[in-house]
Amino acid sequence: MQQKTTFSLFLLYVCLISYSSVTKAQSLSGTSHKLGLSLNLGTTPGIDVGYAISPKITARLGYSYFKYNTNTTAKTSGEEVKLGGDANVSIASLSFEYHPFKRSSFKLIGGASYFDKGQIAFVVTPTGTYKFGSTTFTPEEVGNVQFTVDYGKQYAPFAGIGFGRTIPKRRVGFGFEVGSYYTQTPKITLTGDKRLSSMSEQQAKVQENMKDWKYWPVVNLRLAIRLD
Amino acid sequence: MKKIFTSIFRPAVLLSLGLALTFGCQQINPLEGVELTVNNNVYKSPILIEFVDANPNSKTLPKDLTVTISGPGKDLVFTDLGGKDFKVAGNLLSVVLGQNANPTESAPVEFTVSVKGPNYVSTNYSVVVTDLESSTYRVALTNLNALPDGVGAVSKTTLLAIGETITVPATSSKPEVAKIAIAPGTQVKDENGLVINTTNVSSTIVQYGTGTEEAANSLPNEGEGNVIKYKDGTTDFGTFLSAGFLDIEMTAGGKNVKSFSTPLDVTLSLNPNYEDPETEAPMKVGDQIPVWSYDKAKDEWTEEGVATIAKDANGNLIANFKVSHLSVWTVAKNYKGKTCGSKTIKIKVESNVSYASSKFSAQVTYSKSGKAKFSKTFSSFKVSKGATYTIKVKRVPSGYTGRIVVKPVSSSPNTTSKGGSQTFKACNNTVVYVEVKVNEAPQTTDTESDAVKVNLDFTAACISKNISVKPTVWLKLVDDTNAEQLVSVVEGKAIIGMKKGVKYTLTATYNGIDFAGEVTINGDSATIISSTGLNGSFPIDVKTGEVNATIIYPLNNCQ
Repeated sequence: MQQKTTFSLFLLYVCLISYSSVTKAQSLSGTSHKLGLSLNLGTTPGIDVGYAISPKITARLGYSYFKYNTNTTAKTSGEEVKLGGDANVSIASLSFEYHPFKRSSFKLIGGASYFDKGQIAFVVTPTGTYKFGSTTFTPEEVGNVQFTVDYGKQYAPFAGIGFGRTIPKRRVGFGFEVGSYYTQTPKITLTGDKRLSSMSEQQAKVQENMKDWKYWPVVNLRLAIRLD
Repeated sequence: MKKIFTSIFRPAVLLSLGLALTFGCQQINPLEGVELTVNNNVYKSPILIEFVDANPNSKTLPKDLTVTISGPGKDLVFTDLGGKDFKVAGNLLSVVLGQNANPTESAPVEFTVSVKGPNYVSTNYSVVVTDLESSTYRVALTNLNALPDGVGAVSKTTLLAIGETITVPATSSKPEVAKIAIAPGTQVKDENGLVINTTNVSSTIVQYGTGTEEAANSLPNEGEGNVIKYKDGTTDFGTFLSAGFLDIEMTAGGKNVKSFSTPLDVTLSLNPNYEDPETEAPMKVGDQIPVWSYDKAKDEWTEEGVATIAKDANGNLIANFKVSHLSVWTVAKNYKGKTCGSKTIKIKVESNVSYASSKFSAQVTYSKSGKAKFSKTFSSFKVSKGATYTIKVKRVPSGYTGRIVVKPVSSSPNTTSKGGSQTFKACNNTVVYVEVKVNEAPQTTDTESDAVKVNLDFTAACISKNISVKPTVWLKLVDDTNAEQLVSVVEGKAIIGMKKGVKYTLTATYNGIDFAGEVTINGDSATIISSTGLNGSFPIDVKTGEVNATIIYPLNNCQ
C-alpha cells in the first residue's frame, strides 16, 4: 500500500512538472546531431554516452562510480560520537531520455541499471566515558558500532525527469536530472564490539525500518558535450 | 522577473515537493527506535544470596536486613555496579567478584556475609567461590517469631540483685534443655568492660538442638569454622559437630552487654542420640567435650575450656560450663579429620521434561553402612532436561557416600521421589547425573508438560542518558503456588520455563534494588503489570511456540 502511494505521488509529480515547466530551450530543436557525452555530478557521479535515436529520444549508456570516505563527529541520542563513513557504489546503466516538448529541454528518463556495488558503511564510536554506578568505561573500552547498508549485485529499473539534453544543440550544455532507482530492499548489518557487542540484537529492527528503502534517489547536475 | 520565476523556480519548487513526497512515504530514519546498548558486565561469578526463614512453614520472608562483607576475599566482592555499599533487596543480596578475581578450586575466593535484621538472629555465612559461574546460596535465618524445628528461644528481663535461672524448655523437636543462671548481684559490663549502671538485664536466648536439619542449617556458617583459635594459641579451620548451641544476647541500660562480674552458669542437656564424632559412640558420663565461643564480628571461634559430661536428676546427660562474655557458645568437637569441609557437586539433569517451572527439591543425603549421617535440601530445583546446577555442601563427612533424590515440593507427606542419582563419594568434587521422570498426565500437581520455553531478554534503561545496559541480573519468579525460580540472567539473556495461565510475580534484583511486576501468559501475548518498575511483554512465537520476552527496568546510576 505504501509503495502504491509512493508510486502514485511520483506520477502526479511528473505530470505536474510536465504541464507547468516550460523553459527556454538551451539548445535549438530540429538539429541532426547523434552523439554526445555527459558528465554527472551528484548522487551517482559518472559518465553517460548518448546516441540520438530520434529527435525526441536518446539512448544512453552510462557508468557511475562513487567511493567516499569521511570521518567526522556527530551527535546521536544526545551523545557525541565519531562517525566514520565509507560509500562504495558502482552502477552500469542503459537508459532512454524522451523530450516531449519541442521548445523545452524537459525530459522523461527511463531505463535499467546493474548494481555491481552499492554499499554504504558507517562506524560509530562514542567519544565520551560512560559510568554505571562505580564502573567507568573509556571510549576505547566501550568499542564501536558498525552499520552497513548493502544493495548487493542486482538489476534495478530507473525513472526520472530532468532538463537538458545529453546531446546538446550547442557544443556544451548543462542539465539537471532527478529520479530514483527501484531496488531490492538492502541487506542490513549492525554489529558492535567490546561493550557494544549486543547492538547486533537490534539489526532486525533496523532491517524492518529499511524494508521500504527501495528508492535510491538520483540527483545529478550534468555537463553535456556534443561529440559530432 | 515573473517569467524567470515560472520558468526556473516553480519547477524547482515542484521538484523539491515531489522528492519530499516521494521519499517521505518511506521510513527515512533507519535507526528509529535503536538505542545505544552497552554491556557493562565486567564482573565475574555473579552470586545471589537468598535469605530465607529457617522455618520452612513460615509464610514471611526476611526483610529489612543489613549485611557486611568480611573475610580474606572481601576486597574482591562488589555490588552489581562495582560499589561497596551492599544492600539486601527484599531477601536477596546480589554481589559479584571484581575483574581481578580468578577463583579456582585450588585458589578460591572466600568471604563471609554477616546479616542481621529485626526479629531475626544475626548470623554469618561463608561463601567460597571456585569458578566464574553464577551461583546461589540459601542462608537460613532464625525467626524469633516463627522458630524452626529444633530451635527454642526465651526472652526475659531479670533483676540483677535477685538473679535468675532462665530455662529454654524442651519441645517435641528439641529434647535438649538449656539453663542459664545469672547469679544474684551480678554486674553487667559493656564492650569496653565498664559496668553498666542498671538494675535489670534483658536476655534473648536462642538454643539450637542437634536433631533437626533446620537447626543445623541455622548455625553460623552452618557449623563450619573458618578460624578456630585453640587454647594453645594455634589456629585452624574445621567443622563442628555441636552437642548444644546457644546464642545469648543481653541488653541493659540501652547498651549491649558483653561481659559479667560473675560468669553465667550454663547447663545444656544433650540429645540422647548425640554421638561422639571421634568414636561415633553415644556420649557417656565423664566424657569431655570442648566449649567454644564464637565472635560474630570476627567470624572466629575460640576454645574456652572443657565441659565434663554428667547426669542431671532426671538421668539426662548434661554439659556444664561458665560463660564469661557474651557471644555464641557451643559445646562441640571439632570435626576436623572427620569431615572434608565444603564440597562442590555439579548436577546434570536427565529428564523427560523440556522446560520446567520449579516445584521440585533435591536432597543430598550422606550415609555409611546404610545409616544416614545428615542431609541437606536444595529447593528451587528445576527438572528441565539438560539443566545443570552447582551446589555446595558444607560439613561433608569423610568416608561417607552421597546420593541425591529429587522430590516435588509439596505439603503432602506422601510425596514420592521423581528420580535421583547413583551414589557418589562424599569427599569428591564430582559431577552427578540425576535422572528425573515427571508425570505427564494432567491434573497432577507436578506435571511440567504445559510449561513453555521462555527466552528472556533483559534491558536496563538509563534514566539520565539515552542508552541501555544489558545487565547481568538475578530474576526471581514466584508462581501462584509460591513455587520459586531463581534465574541468573547473564548479559541480558536467560532461558526459563513458565506455564500458561499461571500468574507469576517477577522480581529483578540489581544493585540492591528490587524491580517487580506480575505476568500471566494467556493467548498469544502477555504484558507485565508493573508494581515497581519492571515492564515488558511476553509474545508467543506462533511458529515455535516459544515466548520471546522482553523485560526492561530503569537504571538511575548512569553518567
